[in-house]
Amino acid sequence: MISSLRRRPPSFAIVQKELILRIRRIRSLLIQLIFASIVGIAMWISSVTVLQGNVIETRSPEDHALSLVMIYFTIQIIVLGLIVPSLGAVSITSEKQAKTWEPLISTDITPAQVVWGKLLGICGVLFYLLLLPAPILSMTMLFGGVSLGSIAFEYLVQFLAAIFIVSLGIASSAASKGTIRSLTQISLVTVPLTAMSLGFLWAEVYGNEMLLLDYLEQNTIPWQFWAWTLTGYLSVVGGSLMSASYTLSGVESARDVPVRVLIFTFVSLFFGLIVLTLWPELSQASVAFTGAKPVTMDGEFGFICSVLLLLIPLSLTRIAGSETKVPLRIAQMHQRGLRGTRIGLIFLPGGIRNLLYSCALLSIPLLSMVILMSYEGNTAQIGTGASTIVGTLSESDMFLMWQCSLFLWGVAVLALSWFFAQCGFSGIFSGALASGIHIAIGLIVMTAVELDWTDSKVLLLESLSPPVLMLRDSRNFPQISPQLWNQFNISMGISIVILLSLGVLMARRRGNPVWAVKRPDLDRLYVEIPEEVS
Amino acid sequence: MSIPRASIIEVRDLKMTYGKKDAVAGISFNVDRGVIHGFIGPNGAGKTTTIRILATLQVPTAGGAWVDGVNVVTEPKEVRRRLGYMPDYVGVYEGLSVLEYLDFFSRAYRLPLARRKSAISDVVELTDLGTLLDVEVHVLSKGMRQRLCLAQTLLPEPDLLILDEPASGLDPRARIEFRGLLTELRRLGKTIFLSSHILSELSPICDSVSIIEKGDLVAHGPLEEIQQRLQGTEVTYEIRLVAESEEVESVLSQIPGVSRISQEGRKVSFDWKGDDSEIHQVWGALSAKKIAFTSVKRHDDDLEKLFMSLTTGDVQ
Repeated sequence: MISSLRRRPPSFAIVQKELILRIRRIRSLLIQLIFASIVGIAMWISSVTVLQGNVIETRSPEDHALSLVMIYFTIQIIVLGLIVPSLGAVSITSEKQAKTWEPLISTDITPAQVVWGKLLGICGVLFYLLLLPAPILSMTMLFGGVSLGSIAFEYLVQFLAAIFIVSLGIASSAASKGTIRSLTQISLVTVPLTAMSLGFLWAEVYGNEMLLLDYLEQNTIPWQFWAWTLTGYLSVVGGSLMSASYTLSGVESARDVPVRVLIFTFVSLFFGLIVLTLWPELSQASVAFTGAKPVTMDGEFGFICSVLLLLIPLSLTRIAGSETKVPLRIAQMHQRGLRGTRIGLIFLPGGIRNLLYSCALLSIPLLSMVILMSYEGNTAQIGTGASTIVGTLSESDMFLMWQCSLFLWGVAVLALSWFFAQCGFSGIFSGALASGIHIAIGLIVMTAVELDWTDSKVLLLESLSPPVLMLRDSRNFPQISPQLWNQFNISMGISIVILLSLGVLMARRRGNPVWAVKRPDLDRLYVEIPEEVS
Repeated sequence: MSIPRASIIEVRDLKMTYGKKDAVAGISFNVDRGVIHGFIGPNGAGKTTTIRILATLQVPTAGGAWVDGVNVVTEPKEVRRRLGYMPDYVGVYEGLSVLEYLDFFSRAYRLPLARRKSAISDVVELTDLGTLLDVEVHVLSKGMRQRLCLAQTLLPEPDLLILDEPASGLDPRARIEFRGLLTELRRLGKTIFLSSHILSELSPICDSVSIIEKGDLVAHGPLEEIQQRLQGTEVTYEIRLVAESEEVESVLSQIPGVSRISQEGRKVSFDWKGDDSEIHQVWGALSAKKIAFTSVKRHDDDLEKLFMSLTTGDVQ
């Protein structure tokens, strides 16, 4: 999507069409009238109530203005919560149902440009709708007490929220066959979100007689909060638009590449932020002698992080087990020697790159944990020594050994999923099968441990599932002997090698290249016009 | 500069497989420039799949297809600039006026600003939508919508038009008008590749046909050629005499190549097996005997007959 946008800007034909279709209808005029009326009536009732209750004598005009502004924005949020989801949810399904989709993409417009055009068109209408009752709001300025900056900030937040919900709506619309389904999906997200936002606003902000900007000025918000919010916001908006564009592009298109790059970027950003956020917390470990309970990676905290990381390989099995064929468009791009396809080889789908890419994603959390651990290790030397010796190994060493084993286990899970994909299973099925098998192995090992089999058998079984052994102690990393650690790594290493070998064999048998970015079945497609018909 | 090819569509061993089923089983054909080519077949024969591949909306499993010498698989964008595609059911943006609709598509095709206005006025004139420019699309009849969609596909001035069942759902008047429009487009040098179930619609306007069944091409070429291939050179003639004549049968039976003579009052029919250039012998013999006739009708096998004799009616 990004490359198509860089090559040529999104067509404004879609934006123009959306604006004409949405604003010119009588229905649209009615919505505008109703919206402005609701806002106006609510503010009028509020004023009348205040006057009748003689509250005005006890309240200053500035306070009254503030309460009117709060009512105004509350109604805006409620109405937006009702209108915005439907606008996004019908955007693509309406094209499909009206059978205008095919003629549209038969032109020079790409699906990514349609998605962008829809977003801009809908947001244009929404911004107009949001600003429509602004003259009513401006009346409150006569009372004073509310700064223009505070109002502008409220508007900014509402605009950003509108973009957020429209993006989700477009993604849901692109993935759904019918409007009702996409409307239901998006409502399930936006209704609780609107309720939660209003709850927060009235409990923390409006309830304390202030607007959002005043709230931010009065409370010191750490930079991490902004970093996380911005990353989360961009992930959802960017991810939604990207997934809409992905769904609408054909399977033979180059749609996987930008999606993979974006996923990689956001995963890096996400774990980078985790490192930056935990850094100050971990630095307190160096002053553990003060008596406060330190946050340590080799302690309970690191253990919880590791348990959560156990879920990552299971979520990546879908990528590792995705379609083993290189999409036609990518094979063509590579054949033409396009530079990007050579530099970013790991982001190209198909063959063993699916496994390598998922392993690269898996290595990001591992890397962040190791970075945190290494930082903690440095600080520990300054203090009394957070690393206590267990046997001959320190807790830090133990932590790193566990991370290494868990990483290998993750690679083994991904390799299994990749192997199933080479056998011809679909991505979802390969992923589910690989996850299921590893969960089953884990359960078997757990049962064996509980039944207290003879030591040798347990040791053998335990080496098949490092997570089970790690989870035996519900609070901390259990002790691990070098013998067991070796056994873990050997068994995981052997299973990875076997799965890779079998996968390569299966790929060759099915005529799929493992590393090469080409399509064997492309040979069956003619490039030049043959003189003779076979 | 590339040399223009004689055939605007070239299809070679084109195959499309869904699972284990061949929707199109390796068909090959050419379509010459400037003709109306009918693509005929029962439901599920593979017509729409072939058309979608040509329109770059689908990638074939094997083989290849070229539009104006450009590969539909390797250069889809270039192909799209050379053809106008109209699917079997065309939706329209009902809230737009005819002019806004055409303006939207002219932008979607990225026509330069200078060319946009003239392109719209050209297609409006051709499709006779001039009086409806300010009318909203939802008010238009089905026939007019079909014209509008055709106008939309003509905007980038493509050399080739691919129309999937363009006449379906139209009333007889709209069909006749649409047929006239297609003939006019052929006169302007456009090649039209159209599929239809209504074979009687195709036979008066098609220069050539392809008949497809169960993914296989069962016949391809000009109508006359297919007919000759099927039935040799035998053609039935029907003449209407000015007055009843008892002599006519004996006169005709003496001419070599004439057989199966039958007479019903003033109407006489016979089969002629021979070169068309020799048929004057028949008219000469009748004139010599002073047998006057008012009309002659040549019964070619029409498209419906051809279709029935070439296809089995099995569906995939």
